[in-house]
Amino acid sequence: MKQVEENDDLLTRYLLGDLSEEEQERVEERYISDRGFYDQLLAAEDDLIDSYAEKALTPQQLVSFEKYFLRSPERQNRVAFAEAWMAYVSHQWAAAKAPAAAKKTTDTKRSLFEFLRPAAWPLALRVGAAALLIVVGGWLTFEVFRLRTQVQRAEAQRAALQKQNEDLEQQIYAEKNRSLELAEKLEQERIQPVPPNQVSSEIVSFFLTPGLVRGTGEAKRNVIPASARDVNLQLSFNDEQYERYDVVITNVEGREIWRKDAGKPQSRNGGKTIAVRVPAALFKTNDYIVNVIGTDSSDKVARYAFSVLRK
Amino acid sequence: MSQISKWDLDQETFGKLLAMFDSDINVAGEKYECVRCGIVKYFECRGCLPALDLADETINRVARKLGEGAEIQHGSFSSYFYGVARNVFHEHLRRVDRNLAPVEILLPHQHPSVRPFEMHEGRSDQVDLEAKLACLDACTESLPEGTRKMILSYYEGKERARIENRKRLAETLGVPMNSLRIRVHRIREKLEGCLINCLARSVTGLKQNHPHYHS
Repeated sequence: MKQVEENDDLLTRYLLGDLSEEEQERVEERYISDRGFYDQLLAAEDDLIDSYAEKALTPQQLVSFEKYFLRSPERQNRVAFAEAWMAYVSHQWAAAKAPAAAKKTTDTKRSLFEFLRPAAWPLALRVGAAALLIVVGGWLTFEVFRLRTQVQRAEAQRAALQKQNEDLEQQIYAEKNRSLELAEKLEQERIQPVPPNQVSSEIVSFFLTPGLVRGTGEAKRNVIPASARDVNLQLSFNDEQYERYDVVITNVEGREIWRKDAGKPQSRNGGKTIAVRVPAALFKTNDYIVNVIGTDSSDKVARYAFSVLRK
Repeated sequence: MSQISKWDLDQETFGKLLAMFDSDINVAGEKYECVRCGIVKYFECRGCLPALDLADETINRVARKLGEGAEIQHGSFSSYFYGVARNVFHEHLRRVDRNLAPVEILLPHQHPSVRPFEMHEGRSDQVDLEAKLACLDACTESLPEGTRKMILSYYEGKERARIENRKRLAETLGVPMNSLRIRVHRIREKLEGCLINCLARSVTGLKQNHPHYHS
C-alpha cells in the first residue's frame, strides 16, 4: 500500500513535469515495460485531473498542471470530460440524497412519536404526567364553561341588537312607503289641479269680479264636483249706495233660480266683498248670471257671468 | 508522420516483432499492445503531437531493425523500444524547431486561430454542460448495472469521506485499491468515448436542423 502511495506521488510529479530528466526517463522506461505501473500512471492521471476539476490542487501543482500537463489536446479533452463527469456525479448524488433527507425527517418524526407513547416513559414521569393532566384538564373544563357563558351572553346581546335593527328597518320601510304615497299624491294633484277656491270636497268656493269669470284659471267653466254640497261665491264690487245687498242668480234665459239677502258687504282693498253660500244642487252644467242688487230695490249694482261644469 | 519514414510495416516483419514478445501469439499481442500504449503515453507526456503517429514510427523502426537482422535481447526488448522512442522524440523536437514559424507569416489556412464556426457552436456553456450531462446520463445508463453502481459509488462524497468510501468499495469488491482505480479508469475511458460520440451526434443533429451550420 505504501509502495502504491509512493508510486502515486512519483507519477503525479512526473505528470506535472516536476521530475528531473533522469527521473523522468526511469519512470518512462518502467511504465513502457511494466503494465501494472502503466495502469497506475493512468489512475494517477485520473486523480490529478479530478483534483484539477474539483479545484483541489495546491497552488504550485495548479501552475505545473496548466503550464505542463495541459499542453496536450488529448489531456485538455480529458479535463473537459472530468469536469462534466464531476458535475454529473454531483447531480446524481444530490438527487439521490434528496429522498434520503426526506426519509431522515420522517425517521426523526417517528422517533418523536415513539417518545410520546406513555408506555415508553418511566413510572415517576407517568405519575407526574397524570397529575399534570388532571390539573390541566380541570382548568380547561373551567375555561370552557366560562367561555361558553360568555358566548351565550354575547349571543343574547347580538339577538337583541338584531331585533332592534329589524324594528328600525321596519320603521324606515314604513316611512319610505308613506313618503312614496305622499309623493304620489302630490304628483296626482299636480297633474289634476283642484280649482283654487275649493276649500273642501263639500264646499266649493269661487271668487268673482263683475263681468269676469274667476276661479278656474284658464278654464272657462267653473267645475263643481258631484260631491259638493254648497258653492261659496265671493263677489267683489264698488258700490256704497246701499247698506245691505241681495244676490240673485238667473239662468241665461233670465229666469231667476235663486235669491238671498246677503247682508252687509265687507270692505277689502278699497272695494266691497259680499259672500253667499248656494246649494250646489242648484247648478248644472250651464251658464248663469249672478247679480248683486241693493236690498229693497231693483238696482243691479254688479253683474257676473258664472259658467258651471258639473262632474 | 509519413515524413519521418517511408518504410511501412509488412505482415512478415510484424510477425517477427510479435515473436520477440512471446512465443504465444495471444500473449505476444497483449504485450505488444502494452508497449505500444506505453510509447503513446510517453510521447503524450512529452507534449508531442500527434503521439500516435510518433508511436507508430517507433514501432516501425524497431520492426525494421529486426528485419535487418538486429539482435535484441528478450529481457531488454521493452528498453529497446524506449531507446528508439527517445530517438524519435529528439528527432521530432529538432524538426519542430526547424519548422517553427512566426504566426504573422502563416497562410490563412495554417493560422492557429480558432475558426468562427468552432468558436460559436451556437451553444452557450450552460447549454453545452446540459448536453454533456444528458449524454453522460445516457452513457451511464448504458453500462451494466453493477458497473454503473460501482463507478457512481467510487465518486460518492468529498475529500476524506470519498477516500474512506473508496476503501470500503474496494473491500466490498474484494480487490486492492489500485485495482479498483484502474477498473474505474477503464470505465471512464468508455464513458469518455461514449460522451464524445453522443455530443458528435447531437451537434450533427443541430447542424441538420439549423441551415446556419452548413457553412
